[in-house]
Amino acid sequence: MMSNRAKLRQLMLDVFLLDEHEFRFDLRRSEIDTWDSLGVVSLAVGIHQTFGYHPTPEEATGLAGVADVIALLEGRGIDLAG
Amino acid sequence: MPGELTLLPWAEVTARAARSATVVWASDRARRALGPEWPTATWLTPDGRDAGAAASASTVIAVGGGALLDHVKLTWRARAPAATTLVAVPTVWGSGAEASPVAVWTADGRKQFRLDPELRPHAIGFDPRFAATVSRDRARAACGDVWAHAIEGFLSPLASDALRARLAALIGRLLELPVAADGRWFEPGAEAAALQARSSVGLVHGLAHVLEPVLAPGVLGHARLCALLLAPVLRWNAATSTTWAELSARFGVDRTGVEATVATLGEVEARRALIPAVEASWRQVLRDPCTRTNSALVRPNSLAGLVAELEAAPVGSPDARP
Repeated sequence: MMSNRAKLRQLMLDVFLLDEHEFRFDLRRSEIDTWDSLGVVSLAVGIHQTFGYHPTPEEATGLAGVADVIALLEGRGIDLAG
Repeated sequence: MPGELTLLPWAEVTARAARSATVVWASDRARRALGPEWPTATWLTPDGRDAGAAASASTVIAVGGGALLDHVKLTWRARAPAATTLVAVPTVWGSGAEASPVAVWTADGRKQFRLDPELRPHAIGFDPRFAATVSRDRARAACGDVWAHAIEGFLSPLASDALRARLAALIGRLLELPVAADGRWFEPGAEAAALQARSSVGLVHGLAHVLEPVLAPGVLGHARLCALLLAPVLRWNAATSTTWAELSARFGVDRTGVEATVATLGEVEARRALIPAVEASWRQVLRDPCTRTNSALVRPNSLAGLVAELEAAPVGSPDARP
Protein backbone atom coordinates (compact mmCIF):
# COMPACT_ATOMS: atom_id res chain seq x y z
CA MET A 1 0.00 0.00 0.00
CA MET A 2 1.51 3.28 -1.11
CA SER A 3 1.73 6.02 1.54
CA ASN A 4 0.16 9.38 0.78
CA ARG A 5 3.64 10.87 0.62
CA ALA A 6 4.68 8.32 -1.99
CA LYS A 7 1.44 8.97 -3.90
CA LEU A 8 2.19 12.69 -3.96
CA ARG A 9 5.73 12.07 -5.16
CA GLN A 10 4.47 9.85 -7.99
CA LEU A 11 1.78 12.38 -8.86
CA MET A 12 4.35 15.15 -9.22
CA LEU A 13 6.58 12.93 -11.38
CA ASP A 14 3.64 12.05 -13.63
CA VAL A 15 2.04 15.47 -13.93
CA PHE A 16 5.24 17.33 -14.65
CA LEU A 17 7.02 14.51 -16.47
CA LEU A 18 9.98 14.62 -14.09
CA ASP A 19 12.72 12.04 -13.80
CA GLU A 20 13.03 10.42 -10.38
CA HIS A 21 16.27 12.23 -9.62
CA GLU A 22 14.70 15.60 -10.36
CA PHE A 23 12.15 15.36 -7.56
CA ARG A 24 12.53 16.90 -4.09
CA PHE A 25 9.87 17.67 -1.51
CA ASP A 26 11.16 21.26 -1.41
CA LEU A 27 10.88 21.74 -5.19
CA ARG A 28 9.36 25.07 -6.15
CA ARG A 29 7.17 25.83 -9.14
CA SER A 30 9.82 28.15 -10.57
CA GLU A 31 12.19 25.17 -10.85
CA ILE A 32 9.80 23.07 -12.98
CA ASP A 33 9.39 24.10 -16.63
CA THR A 34 6.21 22.08 -17.08
CA TRP A 35 4.49 23.68 -14.04
CA ASP A 36 2.86 26.23 -16.33
CA SER A 37 -0.83 27.17 -16.56
CA LEU A 38 -1.71 23.78 -18.08
CA GLY A 39 0.38 22.12 -15.40
CA VAL A 40 -1.81 23.86 -12.83
CA VAL A 41 -4.88 22.27 -14.44
CA SER A 42 -3.27 18.81 -14.62
CA LEU A 43 -2.11 19.02 -11.02
CA ALA A 44 -5.60 19.97 -9.82
CA VAL A 45 -7.09 17.03 -11.74
CA GLY A 46 -4.41 14.72 -10.34
CA ILE A 47 -4.91 15.88 -6.74
CA HIS A 48 -8.65 15.26 -7.08
CA GLN A 49 -8.11 11.85 -8.61
CA THR A 50 -5.44 10.78 -6.12
CA PHE A 51 -6.60 12.32 -2.86
CA GLY A 52 -10.31 13.01 -3.46
CA TYR A 53 -10.01 16.74 -2.80
CA HIS A 54 -10.80 19.13 -5.64
CA PRO A 55 -8.72 22.32 -5.26
CA THR A 56 -10.49 25.55 -6.10
CA PRO A 57 -9.01 27.53 -9.02
CA GLU A 58 -7.56 30.01 -6.51
CA GLU A 59 -5.93 27.23 -4.49
CA ALA A 60 -4.54 25.55 -7.60
CA THR A 61 -3.05 28.71 -9.05
CA GLY A 62 -1.68 29.72 -5.64
CA LEU A 63 0.47 26.61 -5.24
CA ALA A 64 4.09 27.71 -5.46
CA GLY A 65 5.81 24.42 -4.69
CA VAL A 66 5.48 20.88 -3.39
CA ALA A 67 5.39 22.20 0.18
CA ASP A 68 2.25 24.19 -0.67
CA VAL A 69 0.58 21.06 -2.05
CA ILE A 70 1.39 19.25 1.20
CA ALA A 71 0.03 22.15 3.25
CA LEU A 72 -3.15 22.27 1.16
CA LEU A 73 -3.81 18.56 1.56
CA GLU A 74 -2.94 18.47 5.28
CA GLY A 75 -5.33 21.40 5.74
CA ARG A 76 -8.01 19.07 4.36
CA GLY A 77 -7.15 16.34 6.83
CA ILE A 78 -5.00 14.26 4.48
CA ASP A 79 -1.93 12.95 6.30
CA LEU A 80 1.29 13.34 4.33
CA ALA A 81 3.70 12.79 7.15
CA GLY A 82 4.66 9.20 6.43
CA MET B 1 -26.47 29.22 -30.94
CA PRO B 2 -24.10 30.99 -28.57
CA GLY B 3 -24.92 34.68 -28.45
CA GLU B 4 -21.87 35.96 -30.28
CA LEU B 5 -22.53 33.90 -33.41
CA THR B 6 -24.78 35.35 -36.07
CA LEU B 7 -26.63 32.77 -38.11
CA LEU B 8 -27.62 34.07 -41.54
CA PRO B 9 -30.55 32.57 -43.45
CA TRP B 10 -29.35 30.96 -46.66
CA ALA B 11 -31.29 33.51 -48.73
CA GLU B 12 -29.27 36.27 -47.06
CA VAL B 13 -25.97 34.50 -47.81
CA THR B 14 -27.04 34.17 -51.45
CA ALA B 15 -28.03 37.82 -51.62
CA ARG B 16 -24.69 38.91 -50.18
CA ALA B 17 -22.81 36.69 -52.64
CA ALA B 18 -24.28 38.66 -55.53
CA ARG B 19 -23.04 42.02 -54.28
CA SER B 20 -20.11 43.57 -56.12
CA ALA B 21 -18.20 44.17 -52.90
CA THR B 22 -18.36 40.48 -51.98
CA VAL B 23 -15.92 37.76 -52.94
CA VAL B 24 -16.60 34.05 -52.50
CA TRP B 25 -13.62 31.91 -51.50
CA ALA B 26 -14.76 28.36 -52.08
CA SER B 27 -13.42 24.84 -52.35
CA ASP B 28 -13.88 23.08 -55.67
CA ARG B 29 -16.43 20.74 -54.11
CA ALA B 30 -18.39 23.67 -52.73
CA ARG B 31 -18.36 25.49 -56.03
CA ARG B 32 -19.67 22.41 -57.83
CA ALA B 33 -22.38 21.94 -55.24
CA LEU B 34 -23.48 25.56 -55.40
CA GLY B 35 -23.77 25.30 -59.15
CA PRO B 36 -23.37 27.89 -61.91
CA GLU B 37 -26.62 29.58 -61.02
CA TRP B 38 -25.34 30.80 -57.66
CA PRO B 39 -25.19 34.58 -58.20
CA THR B 40 -21.59 35.17 -57.24
CA ALA B 41 -19.87 38.39 -58.24
CA THR B 42 -16.28 37.23 -57.66
CA TRP B 43 -14.91 33.73 -57.05
CA LEU B 44 -11.51 33.08 -55.51
CA THR B 45 -9.55 29.89 -56.00
CA PRO B 46 -9.37 27.53 -53.02
CA ASP B 47 -5.65 28.13 -52.43
CA GLY B 48 -6.21 31.88 -52.31
CA ARG B 49 -3.45 32.71 -54.81
CA ASP B 50 -5.77 35.40 -56.20
CA ALA B 51 -6.66 36.61 -52.71
CA GLY B 52 -5.64 40.13 -53.66
CA ALA B 53 -9.21 40.49 -54.90
CA ALA B 54 -10.35 40.13 -51.33
CA ALA B 55 -8.31 43.11 -50.18
CA SER B 56 -10.93 45.60 -51.30
CA ALA B 57 -13.97 43.44 -50.54
CA SER B 58 -16.35 44.41 -47.77
CA THR B 59 -17.46 40.80 -47.37
CA VAL B 60 -15.73 37.49 -47.92
CA ILE B 61 -17.90 34.39 -47.98
CA ALA B 62 -15.74 31.33 -47.31
CA VAL B 63 -17.38 28.07 -48.42
CA GLY B 64 -15.64 24.79 -47.70
CA GLY B 65 -14.45 22.31 -45.13
CA GLY B 66 -12.54 23.12 -41.99
CA ALA B 67 -9.15 23.32 -43.72
CA LEU B 68 -10.34 25.95 -46.19
CA LEU B 69 -12.15 27.95 -43.51
CA ASP B 70 -9.05 27.94 -41.30
CA HIS B 71 -6.91 28.95 -44.30
CA VAL B 72 -9.16 31.95 -44.95
CA LYS B 73 -9.16 32.86 -41.27
CA LEU B 74 -5.37 32.78 -41.15
CA THR B 75 -4.55 34.41 -44.47
CA TRP B 76 -7.31 36.98 -44.82
CA ARG B 77 -9.34 37.43 -41.66
CA ALA B 78 -6.26 37.96 -39.53
CA ARG B 79 -5.15 40.90 -41.67
CA ALA B 80 -8.47 42.27 -42.90
CA PRO B 81 -9.65 45.78 -42.02
CA ALA B 82 -11.99 45.90 -39.04
CA ALA B 83 -14.99 46.95 -41.11
CA THR B 84 -14.93 43.85 -43.31
CA THR B 85 -17.12 40.82 -42.72
CA LEU B 86 -16.31 37.12 -42.96
CA VAL B 87 -19.22 34.79 -43.51
CA ALA B 88 -18.26 31.13 -43.05
CA VAL B 89 -20.26 28.43 -44.79
CA PRO B 90 -19.16 24.89 -43.87
CA THR B 91 -19.71 22.17 -46.44
CA VAL B 92 -19.32 19.51 -43.79
CA TRP B 93 -19.93 19.69 -40.04
CA GLY B 94 -17.43 18.74 -37.39
CA SER B 95 -14.40 21.00 -37.32
CA GLY B 96 -16.38 23.98 -36.10
CA ALA B 97 -13.96 26.27 -37.93
CA GLU B 98 -16.96 28.39 -38.86
CA ALA B 99 -17.65 29.18 -35.21
CA SER B 100 -14.28 29.02 -33.53
CA PRO B 101 -11.60 31.60 -32.70
CA VAL B 102 -9.01 28.86 -33.29
CA ALA B 103 -7.25 28.08 -36.57
CA VAL B 104 -5.18 24.93 -37.06
CA TRP B 105 -2.49 24.09 -39.58
CA THR B 106 0.41 21.67 -39.92
CA ALA B 107 4.01 22.91 -40.06
CA ASP B 108 7.29 21.10 -39.47
CA GLY B 109 5.36 17.87 -39.03
CA ARG B 110 3.34 19.19 -36.09
CA LYS B 111 -0.12 20.59 -35.65
CA GLN B 112 0.03 24.30 -34.94
CA PHE B 113 -2.73 26.42 -33.40
CA ARG B 114 -3.58 30.03 -33.23
CA LEU B 115 -6.23 31.21 -30.78
CA ASP B 116 -7.36 34.75 -31.42
CA PRO B 117 -10.88 36.18 -31.00
CA GLU B 118 -10.26 38.14 -34.20
CA LEU B 119 -10.15 34.88 -36.16
CA ARG B 120 -13.76 34.04 -35.37
CA PRO B 121 -15.98 34.58 -38.43
CA HIS B 122 -18.67 37.25 -38.02
CA ALA B 123 -21.52 35.18 -39.37
CA ILE B 124 -22.34 31.63 -40.39
CA GLY B 125 -24.51 30.35 -43.17
CA PHE B 126 -25.75 26.79 -43.38
CA ASP B 127 -27.08 25.13 -46.49
CA PRO B 128 -28.29 21.67 -45.47
CA ARG B 129 -28.06 20.60 -49.13
CA PHE B 130 -24.30 20.31 -48.70
CA ALA B 131 -25.01 17.22 -46.60
CA ALA B 132 -25.86 15.39 -49.81
CA THR B 133 -22.24 15.84 -50.95
CA VAL B 134 -20.84 14.14 -47.83
CA SER B 135 -19.98 10.43 -48.15
CA ARG B 136 -21.05 7.90 -45.54
CA ASP B 137 -17.51 7.49 -44.17
CA ARG B 138 -16.86 11.22 -44.08
CA ALA B 139 -20.18 11.78 -42.34
CA ARG B 140 -19.30 9.29 -39.63
CA ALA B 141 -15.96 11.01 -39.08
CA ALA B 142 -17.61 14.43 -38.99
CA CYS B 143 -20.14 13.22 -36.43
CA GLY B 144 -17.22 11.93 -34.35
CA ASP B 145 -15.59 15.35 -34.45
CA VAL B 146 -18.78 17.00 -33.18
CA TRP B 147 -19.21 14.38 -30.47
CA ALA B 148 -15.59 14.81 -29.38
CA HIS B 149 -16.00 18.58 -29.05
CA ALA B 150 -19.20 18.21 -27.07
CA ILE B 151 -17.99 15.50 -24.68
CA GLU B 152 -14.47 16.81 -24.11
CA GLY B 153 -15.77 20.35 -23.64
CA PHE B 154 -18.35 19.05 -21.15
CA LEU B 155 -15.75 17.06 -19.19
CA SER B 156 -13.05 19.72 -19.32
CA PRO B 157 -11.67 20.75 -15.92
CA LEU B 158 -11.88 24.32 -17.23
CA ALA B 159 -15.65 24.22 -17.91
CA SER B 160 -17.98 26.18 -15.66
CA ASP B 161 -21.26 24.69 -14.48
CA ALA B 162 -23.16 27.06 -16.79
CA LEU B 163 -21.13 25.88 -19.77
CA ARG B 164 -21.61 22.23 -18.79
CA ALA B 165 -25.37 22.76 -18.60
CA ARG B 166 -25.38 24.09 -22.16
CA LEU B 167 -23.18 21.26 -23.42
CA ALA B 168 -25.37 18.70 -21.62
CA ALA B 169 -28.40 20.10 -23.45
CA LEU B 170 -26.47 19.96 -26.72
CA ILE B 171 -25.46 16.35 -26.07
CA GLY B 172 -29.15 15.53 -25.60
CA ARG B 173 -29.87 17.00 -29.04
CA LEU B 174 -26.96 15.12 -30.63
CA LEU B 175 -28.38 11.86 -29.33
CA GLU B 176 -31.47 12.47 -31.48
CA LEU B 177 -29.43 12.69 -34.69
CA PRO B 178 -28.40 9.73 -36.84
CA VAL B 179 -24.69 9.05 -37.35
CA ALA B 180 -25.08 9.78 -41.05
CA ALA B 181 -25.01 12.54 -43.66
CA ASP B 182 -27.79 14.74 -42.40
CA GLY B 183 -28.06 18.51 -42.73
CA ARG B 184 -29.29 18.79 -39.15
CA TRP B 185 -25.68 18.30 -37.97
CA PHE B 186 -24.45 21.68 -39.21
CA GLU B 187 -25.86 23.89 -36.46
CA PRO B 188 -25.09 21.67 -33.44
CA GLY B 189 -21.65 21.05 -34.92
CA ALA B 190 -20.91 24.77 -34.87
CA GLU B 191 -22.38 25.10 -31.40
CA ALA B 192 -20.23 22.26 -30.04
CA ALA B 193 -17.07 23.93 -31.33
CA ALA B 194 -18.04 27.37 -30.05
CA LEU B 195 -18.89 26.06 -26.58
CA GLN B 196 -15.83 23.82 -26.37
CA ALA B 197 -13.65 26.84 -27.18
CA ARG B 198 -14.74 28.27 -23.81
CA SER B 199 -13.23 25.33 -21.93
CA SER B 200 -10.83 22.89 -23.53
CA VAL B 201 -10.62 19.53 -25.20
CA GLY B 202 -8.83 16.47 -23.88
CA LEU B 203 -7.01 13.27 -24.72
CA VAL B 204 -8.97 12.53 -27.92
CA HIS B 205 -7.66 15.77 -29.39
CA GLY B 206 -4.23 15.35 -27.81
CA LEU B 207 -3.87 12.01 -29.59
CA ALA B 208 -5.36 13.27 -32.85
CA HIS B 209 -3.10 16.31 -32.99
CA VAL B 210 0.03 14.21 -32.48
CA LEU B 211 -0.99 11.32 -34.74
CA GLU B 212 -2.34 13.30 -37.68
CA PRO B 213 1.05 14.55 -38.93
CA VAL B 214 2.71 11.21 -38.07
CA LEU B 215 0.36 9.12 -40.16
CA ALA B 216 0.42 9.37 -43.93
CA PRO B 217 -1.11 12.74 -44.82
CA GLY B 218 -4.65 12.44 -46.03
CA VAL B 219 -4.98 8.84 -44.86
CA LEU B 220 -6.49 9.67 -41.51
CA GLY B 221 -7.65 13.22 -41.06
CA HIS B 222 -8.46 14.89 -37.79
CA ALA B 223 -12.18 14.12 -37.83
CA ARG B 224 -11.67 10.42 -38.52
CA LEU B 225 -9.08 10.16 -35.77
CA CYS B 226 -11.50 11.78 -33.33
CA ALA B 227 -14.22 9.35 -34.41
CA LEU B 228 -11.91 6.36 -33.96
CA LEU B 229 -10.50 7.50 -30.63
CA LEU B 230 -13.54 8.85 -28.81
CA ALA B 231 -15.06 5.58 -27.57
CA PRO B 232 -11.81 4.05 -26.26
CA VAL B 233 -10.74 7.31 -24.62
CA LEU B 234 -14.13 7.76 -22.98
CA ARG B 235 -13.94 4.21 -21.66
CA TRP B 236 -10.39 4.83 -20.41
CA ASN B 237 -11.51 8.07 -18.73
CA ALA B 238 -14.36 6.22 -17.04
CA ALA B 239 -12.05 3.48 -15.78
CA THR B 240 -9.52 6.00 -14.48
CA SER B 241 -11.62 8.77 -13.00
CA THR B 242 -15.13 9.25 -11.62
CA THR B 243 -15.57 12.56 -13.48
CA TRP B 244 -17.61 11.21 -16.42
CA ALA B 245 -19.94 9.27 -14.08
CA GLU B 246 -20.36 12.19 -11.68
CA LEU B 247 -20.86 14.93 -14.26
CA SER B 248 -23.19 12.91 -16.48
CA ALA B 249 -25.40 12.17 -13.44
CA ARG B 250 -25.27 15.75 -12.19
CA PHE B 251 -26.17 17.33 -15.53
CA GLY B 252 -28.67 14.72 -16.68
CA VAL B 253 -26.59 13.36 -19.56
CA ASP B 254 -27.76 9.97 -20.83
CA ARG B 255 -24.42 8.24 -20.23
CA THR B 256 -25.57 4.88 -21.56
CA GLY B 257 -26.96 6.47 -24.71
CA VAL B 258 -23.80 8.48 -25.29
CA GLU B 259 -21.52 5.47 -24.81
CA ALA B 260 -23.65 3.36 -27.18
CA THR B 261 -23.62 6.12 -29.79
CA VAL B 262 -19.90 6.88 -29.69
CA ALA B 263 -19.25 3.14 -30.00
CA THR B 264 -20.83 3.34 -33.47
CA LEU B 265 -18.22 5.87 -34.60
CA GLY B 266 -15.27 3.49 -34.57
CA GLU B 267 -13.87 0.79 -36.80
CA VAL B 268 -12.02 -2.05 -35.08
CA GLU B 269 -9.20 -2.61 -37.57
CA ALA B 270 -8.54 1.07 -38.23
CA ARG B 271 -8.43 1.70 -34.51
CA ARG B 272 -6.05 -1.16 -33.82
CA ALA B 273 -3.82 0.04 -36.63
CA LEU B 274 -3.24 3.24 -34.65
CA ILE B 275 -1.62 1.44 -31.72
CA PRO B 276 2.00 1.41 -32.97
CA ALA B 277 1.84 5.14 -33.69
CA VAL B 278 0.27 5.83 -30.28
CA GLU B 279 3.03 3.85 -28.57
CA ALA B 280 5.78 5.54 -30.58
CA SER B 281 4.39 9.04 -29.98
CA TRP B 282 3.28 8.64 -26.36
CA ARG B 283 5.78 11.08 -24.86
CA GLN B 284 4.63 13.71 -27.33
CA VAL B 285 0.99 12.92 -26.56
CA LEU B 286 1.68 13.49 -22.85
CA ARG B 287 3.05 16.95 -23.59
CA ASP B 288 0.22 17.99 -25.90
CA PRO B 289 -1.76 20.91 -24.44
CA CYS B 290 -5.07 19.10 -25.02
CA THR B 291 -3.90 16.00 -23.20
CA ARG B 292 -2.95 18.14 -20.23
CA THR B 293 -6.52 19.38 -19.84
CA ASN B 294 -8.08 15.93 -20.07
CA SER B 295 -10.73 15.18 -17.47
CA ALA B 296 -8.68 12.26 -16.14
CA LEU B 297 -4.98 12.66 -15.47
CA VAL B 298 -2.95 11.10 -18.29
CA ARG B 299 0.21 9.60 -16.81
CA PRO B 300 3.21 8.00 -18.52
CA ASN B 301 1.94 4.59 -17.37
CA SER B 302 -1.56 5.25 -18.77
CA LEU B 303 -0.45 3.90 -22.14
CA ALA B 304 -1.14 0.25 -21.35
CA GLY B 305 -4.73 0.90 -20.29
CA LEU B 306 -5.37 3.07 -23.31
CA VAL B 307 -3.91 0.49 -25.69
CA ALA B 308 -6.15 -2.13 -24.09
CA GLU B 309 -9.17 0.03 -24.90
CA LEU B 310 -7.95 0.63 -28.45
CA GLU B 311 -7.74 -3.14 -28.80
CA ALA B 312 -10.98 -4.10 -27.16
CA ALA B 313 -13.53 -1.28 -26.87
CA PRO B 314 -16.77 -2.51 -28.44
CA VAL B 315 -17.84 -1.12 -31.78
CA GLY B 316 -21.50 -0.76 -32.65
CA SER B 317 -23.13 -0.40 -36.03
CA PRO B 318 -24.57 3.03 -36.87
CA ASP B 319 -27.42 1.19 -38.57
CA ALA B 320 -28.28 -0.58 -35.32
CA ARG B 321 -28.91 2.63 -33.40
CA PRO B 322 -32.50 3.15 -32.34
